[in-house]
Amino acid sequence: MTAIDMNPTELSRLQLARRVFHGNRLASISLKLFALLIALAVFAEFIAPYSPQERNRAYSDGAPMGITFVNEEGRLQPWPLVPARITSRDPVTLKRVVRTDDTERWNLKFFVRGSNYELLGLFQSDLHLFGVSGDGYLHLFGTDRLGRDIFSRTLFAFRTSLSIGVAAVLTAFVLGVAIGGMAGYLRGWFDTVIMRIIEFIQSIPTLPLWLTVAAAVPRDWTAMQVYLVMTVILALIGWTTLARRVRSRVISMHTDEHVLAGKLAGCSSTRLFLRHMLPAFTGYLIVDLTLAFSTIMIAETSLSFLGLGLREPVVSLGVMLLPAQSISAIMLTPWYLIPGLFVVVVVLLLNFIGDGVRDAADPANY
Amino acid sequence: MLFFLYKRLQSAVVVLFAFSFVVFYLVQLPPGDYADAWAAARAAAGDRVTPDEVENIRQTYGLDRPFLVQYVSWIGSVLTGDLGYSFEFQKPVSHVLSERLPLTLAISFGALFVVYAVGIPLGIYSAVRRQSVVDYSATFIGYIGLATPNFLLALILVYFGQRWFGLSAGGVLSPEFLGEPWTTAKVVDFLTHLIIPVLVLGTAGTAAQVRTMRSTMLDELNRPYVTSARATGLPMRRAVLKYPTRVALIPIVATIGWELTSVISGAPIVGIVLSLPDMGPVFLQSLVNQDMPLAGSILLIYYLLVVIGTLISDLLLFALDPRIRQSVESAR
Amino acid sequence: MPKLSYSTVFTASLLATTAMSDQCPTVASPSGIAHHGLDQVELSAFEAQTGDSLTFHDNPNLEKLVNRGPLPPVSERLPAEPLVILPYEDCGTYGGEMRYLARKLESNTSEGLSWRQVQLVRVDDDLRTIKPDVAKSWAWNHDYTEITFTLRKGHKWSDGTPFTAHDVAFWLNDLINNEELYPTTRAPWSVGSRAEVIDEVTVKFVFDVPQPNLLEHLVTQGQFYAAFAPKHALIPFHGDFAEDADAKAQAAGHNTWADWFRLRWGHWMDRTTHSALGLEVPTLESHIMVTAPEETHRDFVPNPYYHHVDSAGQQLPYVDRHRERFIDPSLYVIEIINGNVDQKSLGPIESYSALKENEAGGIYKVILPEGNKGPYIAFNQTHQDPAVRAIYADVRFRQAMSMAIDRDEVSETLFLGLGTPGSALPHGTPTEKPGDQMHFSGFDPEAAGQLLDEMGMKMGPDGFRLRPDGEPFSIIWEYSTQFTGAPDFPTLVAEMWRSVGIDTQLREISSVDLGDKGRANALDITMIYDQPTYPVLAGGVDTLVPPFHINDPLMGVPWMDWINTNGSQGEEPPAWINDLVALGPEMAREAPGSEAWNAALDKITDIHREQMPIIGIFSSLPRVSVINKDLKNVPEITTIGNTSYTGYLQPWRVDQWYYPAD
Repeated sequence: MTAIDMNPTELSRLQLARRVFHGNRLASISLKLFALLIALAVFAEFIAPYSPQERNRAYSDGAPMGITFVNEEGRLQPWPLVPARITSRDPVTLKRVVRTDDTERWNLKFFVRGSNYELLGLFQSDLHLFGVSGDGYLHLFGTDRLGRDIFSRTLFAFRTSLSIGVAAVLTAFVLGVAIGGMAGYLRGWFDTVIMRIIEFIQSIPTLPLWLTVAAAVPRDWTAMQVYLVMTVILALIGWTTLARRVRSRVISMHTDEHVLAGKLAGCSSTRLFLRHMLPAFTGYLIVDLTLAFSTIMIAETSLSFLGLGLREPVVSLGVMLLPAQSISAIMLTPWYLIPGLFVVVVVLLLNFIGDGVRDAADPANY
Repeated sequence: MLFFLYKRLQSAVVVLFAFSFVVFYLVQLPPGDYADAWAAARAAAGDRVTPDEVENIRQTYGLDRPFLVQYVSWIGSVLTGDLGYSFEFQKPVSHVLSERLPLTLAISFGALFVVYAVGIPLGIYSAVRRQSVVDYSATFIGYIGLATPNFLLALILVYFGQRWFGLSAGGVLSPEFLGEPWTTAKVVDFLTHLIIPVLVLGTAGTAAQVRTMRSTMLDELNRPYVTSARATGLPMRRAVLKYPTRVALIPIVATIGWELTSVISGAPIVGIVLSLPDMGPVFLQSLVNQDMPLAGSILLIYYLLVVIGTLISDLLLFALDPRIRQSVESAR
Repeated sequence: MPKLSYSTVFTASLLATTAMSDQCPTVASPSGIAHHGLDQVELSAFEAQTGDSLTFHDNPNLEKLVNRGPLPPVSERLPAEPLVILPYEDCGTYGGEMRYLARKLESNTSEGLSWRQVQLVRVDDDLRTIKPDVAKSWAWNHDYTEITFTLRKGHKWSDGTPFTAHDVAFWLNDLINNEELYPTTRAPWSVGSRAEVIDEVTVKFVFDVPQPNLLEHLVTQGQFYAAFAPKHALIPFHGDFAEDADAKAQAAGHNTWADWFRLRWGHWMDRTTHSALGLEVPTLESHIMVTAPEETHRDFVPNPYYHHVDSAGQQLPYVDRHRERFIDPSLYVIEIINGNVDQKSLGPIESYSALKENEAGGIYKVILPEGNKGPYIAFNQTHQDPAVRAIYADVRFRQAMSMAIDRDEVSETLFLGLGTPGSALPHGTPTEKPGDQMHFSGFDPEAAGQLLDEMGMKMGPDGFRLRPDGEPFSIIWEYSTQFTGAPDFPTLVAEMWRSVGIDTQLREISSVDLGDKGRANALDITMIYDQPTYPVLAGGVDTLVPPFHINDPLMGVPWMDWINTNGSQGEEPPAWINDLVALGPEMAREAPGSEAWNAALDKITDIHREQMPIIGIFSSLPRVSVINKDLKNVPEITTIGNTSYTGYLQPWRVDQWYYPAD
């Protein structure tokens, strides 16, 4: 018996939601892609062929490189090859030019030995998912001015941005649920004060405020301190939407039957809230979280881009976009913008997931 | 109605004060002050700066006074309509801003106009013609606009603006029109240069409005009253525009204030990337140089714009939604 | 009101107008004027050689004003003895516009500012020879403590008021040496200097100590301080001259007269052109500001009283409008490609490729004159941690770090391969020795490793060397991107150092913090950019003797404290620092290029050879520059100066540039 045949009423709420969610192809694919990206970021040391600071002297400012299955004799091969590159300097414009060397192919190999790393702080290894044989190299997204692999750096940068995002969103989540829950549960003056504060924060133009706070961070702080402050700054705004949502749900559920039943059965308020109220609107919270997350990613890149956020040697998407500021960079080395495209893709995925979850959380869709 | 407005304004004023305090505090928070920033800038230019000179600057602008005294003296003058004196520009803040505020307003409200002028019709069309090419492309472009950070969009548009249309970058006028009297050609040139900043600021909002409009319209279109209206032979156009649109507009109108907030939020970064003579670049500069009166005034203006936006949306809601009118009347 | 009429006249027509040029000796073909290569001559000498009196011709736009009445004819406006310029190619035609870019009103990056400037003297194309300009001639006393300048009879400020010796004396005695106004001004002006008016056209500067470098200073850093000021326009606001000066300033919202005065007239660069106040301050420059500067741009038109004429008698400048536009530097390249810029030099060298790629379709040509030097590095030999100080103070460490840098790769990676590797020793001086260019500057990681081994810095278990006492060691390199633009240079060099086993931690901080920390002796490394090592171009010996920099100390703050306080504060410097400190004034007493000067320079260079206080990367690095390819009389430029040290050296002589009437 497949799930489709089952009587909807026999399914739990979660199962129902899951079914609606997976019925939305876009959302479901997005979720899988996002999970894949997270995995890429978490295992960046293993996935990335190079370490973020590793330089390829032979190929700085190099364009993205592709993979081929045609060997140097023009025959199709079952294994992937990387056409060799010859770099030189254009005698007139002095820019680096890359030619494909049709007479040489580098073998793309999987599970190769490369630079040393420590994975998840647990064990040491030098195994990389893929790499190129011999003296060859492969830069899927090209390289920057110092010859660092943009693909590898993007993975590490995404991890930085992701961890800031997760930390900020979690902080916002805890703040939002706690404050919003209390406001909704206690009502009265507490509620009024909290609502005024929320209105205040929400009416502030966020980016100018972030700029102000970011500019207030002493410039001699270490990268780690800046990182923590960035998280807090980003969370400062994020919690309000959540708090508002939680509050209104809590208020409307005061009268819900199962909550009333719980009250009568003598549940403590905390238990009542966590066990009976919170699960009922988790769906909406997830939507808010995905949106908050994408806002935070955009904010992180924008602040770093303006030189007010993270800085080298931290690798974040915003830091990577700094050299793309000048128009000459867009003209000569458009691949510097790839980390920006990465931001776009991630935000898109989050939006699609958010839409899917919203539909899934809405009982009208069951 | 007036009572409602009064209450709104009252809380806005309180918030404005709280906000100005926070802002002033934050701007002066980093170590050092404007005098230090000034000294560093002079030294970078190759000038020799002595501690005496720095101290002189510090005293001239009263930077050696306690923070609270500085704040009170600034906010006191703001209350009398004087925004204070910009250290960095060495002229009154109001002079600095009067040259730049109009452009910020033009771009922000231009973007707001685009958001609604494009967002609403496109939303209606997408709802009525679901899964048409227009629907899909609107959704697609909308998502891209939503997901692309403003600064990135601005950079890319500047590049293509130059490549495809030969638009000059940096500012809102081609160089040949600078300092010239306003002619039709100059106005056209000015408007052409507004396209990129307005597009950059407006895309995300437009996308959001299309989505909201589309989904609320869909809800309304599925209601029995629309079906029965169609059944009685009302033409499609009227059946859509007369009632469902009006209902669907309510959530849109309710968010004008927020929309303005987000447009205003995006404005500085667009101004900075595009090097516009608006408040954006000055704002960043004032933050970095700890020019408190200037930074504080700019933030106040940003905030004031948002308050105005919220008021407008309240008023519109009042006019559009009989339920609100009633509840306000009864609240008195 | 003539000012208003200037602006309307000049904005009305920007078309080039053909001028009559009966006879026009040029640099290229001097047609009998003196000898080949001459580029300027005094009127009397010129007329003596041509045997004819030179008839003066006016800019047609100014002529209109003359005809309408507000302006006297050109022959009355020019000094009795104008300076006759022999153009590089030809006598030009009036008209057209020069469009510049700058970051903002107060920017020191705008060459447009410098191209208008005039000084008592100017430097020739060889960047060595000093020639007359505002001053017709000068004479030194025997020990270089007094210099007498002869000005041009009948020379006038841009408002028509006579320019006299009193304006020069006023500048030094009442502005520069007025402590209320300017507590300090850079040497040679700051201490023990005064001016004496001898007659209307003769003025003498008197110094307590010899200043043989004065003229070199005037054409390099000193060109930012025009050595004269319009006394008649400024005294109504000067506290020493006008009793109501304070009251006026307070009425305008300032605390003291000095506060307001500084906005009107700055001792540094073109402060005057920052606000509408500048409209009230006349100038001697080639172009004058006639409308208040705006946020977006600032315009200048020809100074009707400018003292240069070409060899056909036409008053210079030819170009009718100078316009600076203020935009963000990230947009410079696209605006140049757009054809909206006539001349600009750019900082980031990588913009060369983008500009060159679009050169064919553009109105500009890209040139690569020398002018930059790139970065220099100095280790803090007075580091607060004694163990670290011992390492940095060991010359072997500095030699090793220098040899660990692959300068070719730095050039290839960050400077389009255009940098010429070299040490920080003075290049191009008569005292240069064969090995100086690459003194401990060739890439040799093995030799570097050996030196570090010798020092007792053994390799630790993590692949990084330990201090001689066995503790872990890291260089903490704090830098700001104000000049580098990107952290690429420190990143690259840090990697090179790590590969010889010296751990290097990078930290980006703001330039404010960097300056503070430098002065507080709290940095491991200080960096400077584009500091010329040739003392004449540097305007003095400052860059070679402690603290090795004209503004912020590069190194040795505690040593300088010790010396300045006679040992009551700071730290006792090593012998070689004492030697340098003694040699500096010794060299400054001598005329540049003289035997005694060379001897002192040789001794100084010897100490640098031995101690290597500064690590250089390149001996020369070109500066990307674009110029409208239609412009005439633009010389082949081989060098452009840079602001902080040399000022924009002015061999370009922009007042003779013109657009040919096609």
